[in-house]
Amino acid sequence: MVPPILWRCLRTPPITHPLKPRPRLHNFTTTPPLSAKPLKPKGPPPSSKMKSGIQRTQSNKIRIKKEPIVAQKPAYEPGQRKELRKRIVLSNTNAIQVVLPTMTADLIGNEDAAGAMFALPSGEEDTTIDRLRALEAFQTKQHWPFFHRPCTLFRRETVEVGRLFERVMQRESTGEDGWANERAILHGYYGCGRTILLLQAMTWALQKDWVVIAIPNAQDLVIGHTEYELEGNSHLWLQKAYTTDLLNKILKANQKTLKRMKLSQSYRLGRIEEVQKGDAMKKVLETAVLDPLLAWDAFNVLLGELGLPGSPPVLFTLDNLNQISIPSKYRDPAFNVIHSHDLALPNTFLAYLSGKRSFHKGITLAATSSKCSRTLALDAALEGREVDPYERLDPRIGPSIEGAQIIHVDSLSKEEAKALMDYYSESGIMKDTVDLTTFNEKYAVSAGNPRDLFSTCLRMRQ
Amino acid sequence: MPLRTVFLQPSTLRTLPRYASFTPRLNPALIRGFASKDIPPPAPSKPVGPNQDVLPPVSEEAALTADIMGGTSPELEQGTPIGEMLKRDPAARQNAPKVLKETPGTKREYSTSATPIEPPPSDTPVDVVSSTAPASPPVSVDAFALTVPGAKYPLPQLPLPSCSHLKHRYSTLLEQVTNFIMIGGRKAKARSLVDQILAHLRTFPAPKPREGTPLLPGTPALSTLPLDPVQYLQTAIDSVSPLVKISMLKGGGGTKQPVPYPLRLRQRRRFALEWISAAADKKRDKLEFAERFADEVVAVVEGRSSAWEKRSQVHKLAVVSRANVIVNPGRTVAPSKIKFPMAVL
Repeated sequence: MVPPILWRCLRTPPITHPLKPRPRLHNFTTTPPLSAKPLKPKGPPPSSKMKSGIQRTQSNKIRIKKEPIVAQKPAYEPGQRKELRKRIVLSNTNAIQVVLPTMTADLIGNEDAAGAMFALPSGEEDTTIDRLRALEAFQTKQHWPFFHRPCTLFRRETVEVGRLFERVMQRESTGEDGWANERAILHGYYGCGRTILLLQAMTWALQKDWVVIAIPNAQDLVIGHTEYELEGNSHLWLQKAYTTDLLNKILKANQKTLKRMKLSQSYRLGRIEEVQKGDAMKKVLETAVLDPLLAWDAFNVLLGELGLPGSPPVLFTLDNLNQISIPSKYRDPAFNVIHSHDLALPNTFLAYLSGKRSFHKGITLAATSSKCSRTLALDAALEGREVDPYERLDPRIGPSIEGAQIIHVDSLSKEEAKALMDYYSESGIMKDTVDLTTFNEKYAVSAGNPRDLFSTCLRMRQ
Repeated sequence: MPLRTVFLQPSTLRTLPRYASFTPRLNPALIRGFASKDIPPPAPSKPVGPNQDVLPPVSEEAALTADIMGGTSPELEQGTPIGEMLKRDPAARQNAPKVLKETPGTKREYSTSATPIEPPPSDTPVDVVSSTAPASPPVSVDAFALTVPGAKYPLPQLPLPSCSHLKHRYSTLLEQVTNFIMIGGRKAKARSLVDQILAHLRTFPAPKPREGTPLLPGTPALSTLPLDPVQYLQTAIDSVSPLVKISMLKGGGGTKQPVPYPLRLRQRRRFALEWISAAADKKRDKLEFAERFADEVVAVVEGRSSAWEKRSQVHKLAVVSRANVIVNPGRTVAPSKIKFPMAVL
């Protein structure tokens, strides 16, 4: 209930003081009244006469001086650690230069050269080493940084790899227009030099102007570090970012050969881009490298063209075959593990390895690895033994390498070990002289394993 | 009343006989017989027992018979194999048990014969190594090993080299560096770090010689050091290591006096390692420990490390306070137990 006095108050005129002057104010004005004093600057209250320092000492409060938070500089820039990890040094100026013959393509399949050291081709005009670098054929922990220049040992297994080249080249030279495909797997114990054999094969292929396609480490494909997406038609999972990288490597390594390759027909890349018949393959890859959406189509165009008659020979390699014989780390939308063979790139490689697809002329070469979890199915397939039906092995692994020749990479023979040790001692790295006693001792300790031989010869703790 | 306390009797007061000898009495049972050099010791008599007059072994008997009758005597020194005896004597063959009649041992599934090791002839290359190693000194074939039947390899040369002991395989310097680097007993980690340090020393550019760097006399040319990383490390560590340490002892009147003490080799190296690693820890731009440490070793050899300043500081103070040196070779008292510096030069 509204009190009646309110209405009365409003109606009555304001009581004015007779002595106090009224400020002259307009109604509804925004200007401040003239009588208002200006604002004083803020400061300590005038009542406190003590100095601030004395006041602080006398107060009982604990005062903690706050230090400004400085943003710490990170120890590593983004990507720096990976760069350090992957950095490959191929020369050591401290080591003594050893004069060695060059590993040329004439040596392919030469049995007499087995057991000797050869230098990788290098010169002012020779870009082979740079191209090998682009293909990531050199790996870390292969002891390149200790020597003056990269040199490799020509082994019995190198002769066998050379035989593959010989067979393809014979077809080429006789002018037969048939298919010439060689498929092989390098298999052996740890540190026996499979990756180095791949390197030697790539060296020859680059010198012969072959197209070299190399997947340097299959582990990158399956550990779930790259983007992936399902392609509807083939039910395969594409890794477009990785494919772009791969195309980049191929482009860098095979500039000259790709320039000469002309397209036999027009293709469509992605949805819009089109390449015309007669364009150079290099142009196709250059457009694809810029856009990951085109990468997979461009890669297929490249493989398709290499399967046609008249195309240059191909070397297709993959290191660490074991990694694509175990379940991948990728998951599908239903959260099931994706089988490694359902990824498009491994699937393509294995199609070539098992002979489902083939180049017109070419070699498909894979190398197994020892740094991998157990792959029982692959081991059984490599040994070629009957699988016990009660063993629950992956049924897809066996057929994926069917028909491929298995090159067993063995430990070094005495001649090869002697050549290596002579090279170490001539480079000035190994201090001991290579006499019979030293040789026998090191050879026995390392059991002819190249990696162990290096560590026994150059053991830092002497 | 007789004295009760006197127990002395005349017999107890008897004196010793005058001419009694003080030499101990010889008990014949305790005397050990000795043989004079002139008389030869008697021949040991044969033990008398049931086997006293047994016949000699079969082969000896056969040898005696052959000696008398004239014929080939069997080999005496190695004994006669039973097969040989059976072959010789038809009667024994007849009476021999069935097992022996079948002449065992003629066919064996495995071979027990050892291949005699012969030195490879010098003119014909047998082994790859012996043929291709041109300047290698010829390995001396231990003649004794060849005489020992069954020895496959020559005996090791004695005394064994120092590195052949299991627990002291590596050089003392590297052992010390490893233990210095080790944290929490992780020796394998420390060893791999040492390996990395040595690998960095191999691959870093060779150090440039600088004037006035007091490297150890006898250091090889600096350009050759990267090829021998252990020598490199040793040069650096032994060059910066101080000769003395200064310890402050309580003097009179509440003062402290610096007293220099000489250091052993291991202690000196320890000081050098501490200075080097302290200087290396200041390098934040180098990312890995091994890289930092190796870089500091290079800096030491090139004479631009802060370890040199610490070393000269210690040496200067030692020279200044040389009057406080404790020289008392007669006493072996731990320095911590000495309260005042004694005995002045």
